[in-house]
Amino acid sequence: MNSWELFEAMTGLEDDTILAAAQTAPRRRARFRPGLRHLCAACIALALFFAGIAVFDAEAGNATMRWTRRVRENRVYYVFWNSPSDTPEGAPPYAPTWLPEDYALTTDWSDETRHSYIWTHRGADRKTLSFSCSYVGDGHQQGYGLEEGTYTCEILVINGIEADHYMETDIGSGWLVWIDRKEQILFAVSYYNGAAFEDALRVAESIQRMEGEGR
Amino acid sequence: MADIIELLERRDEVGLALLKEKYADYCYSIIYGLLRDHSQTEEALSDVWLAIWNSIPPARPMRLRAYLAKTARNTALHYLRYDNAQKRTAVTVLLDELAECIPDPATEVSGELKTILREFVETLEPEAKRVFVRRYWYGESLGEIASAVHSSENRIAGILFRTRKKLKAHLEKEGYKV
Repeated sequence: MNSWELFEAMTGLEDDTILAAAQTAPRRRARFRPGLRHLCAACIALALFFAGIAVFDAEAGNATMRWTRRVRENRVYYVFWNSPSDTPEGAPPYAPTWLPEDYALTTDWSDETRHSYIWTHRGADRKTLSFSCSYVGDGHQQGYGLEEGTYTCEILVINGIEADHYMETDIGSGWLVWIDRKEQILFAVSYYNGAAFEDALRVAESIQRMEGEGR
Repeated sequence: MADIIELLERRDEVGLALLKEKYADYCYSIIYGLLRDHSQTEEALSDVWLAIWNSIPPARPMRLRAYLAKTARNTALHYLRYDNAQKRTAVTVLLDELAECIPDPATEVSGELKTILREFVETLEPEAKRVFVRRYWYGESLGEIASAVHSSENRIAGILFRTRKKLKAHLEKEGYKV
């Protein structure tokens, strides 16, 4: 055995070990004083209480709207059951009406039920924003490139609709995913390669139905 | 936007475009960490995309990012192995350090080495594990590791020294001895 063979054998390490090692360690935080510690504990307890109410409400909403978010083979999917099954003709006529400066359209892709756009920054940094909208049919399933354990999720409101914001902090990317329940359309905006979340949010808020392009 | 793996399985080139847009920097940093040469890294990165396009399907990786990381590292190793001896200078220091861990260079490599190494790494304390993997999996310099874990280069060197000693003892225990 030589050192090269040992070096090559490192390839067999566990996936989790490889991914975890690449993450930057958080800086140590200053210790709280005892009084503050109790205050924090009280705040956390309150937050958990209200989070419980929010989860209950969200589940009730899911049942009514017949859609659910699932994790299958450690990947996140949105699955819609028994929703209107009429097959749409053409891609949904939605698009953002605002984009940050110096972004150029690099991919424009559609099929019967979905339309996607990808914009890349003209600079060398390849900052990227994307938008997609999908019709929701019976049993329709839309997957996202999100793997369990690699993201955190928070709830935001976009134009009055609750959206899931997934953050993959170690590679500086994220996704906003929400559904227009009235139109039964699933929207997603993603940002990566250093594109700003604030820009992605503004793109999401600017999305409008294109006039004269109805289904 | 659909899931990248789903698109690749449908042989949709949008999947490859998304893969490049999202993971180019990630894969580039892994390859460059080992090759330390920008033009070679660009070339190797193209090989990574081709390897992914050719392997999915039939492969359906559970952890796409880890799959990409391993593909990127294997591609970089391929360049180090076959391109020319000069390029190995990028990892010469790493190899010299790892040589300290080998109880007997004449020992035959068994198929179990990967398993033994994997088990050893999983026994390490979290900080030592992170430092060891960043050094010998990603090929990072002491300075790069120190910056990532908010520590000093001297301390990192100490952690690595102790971990290599442990690895040597572990390899001896597992039968890699005279």
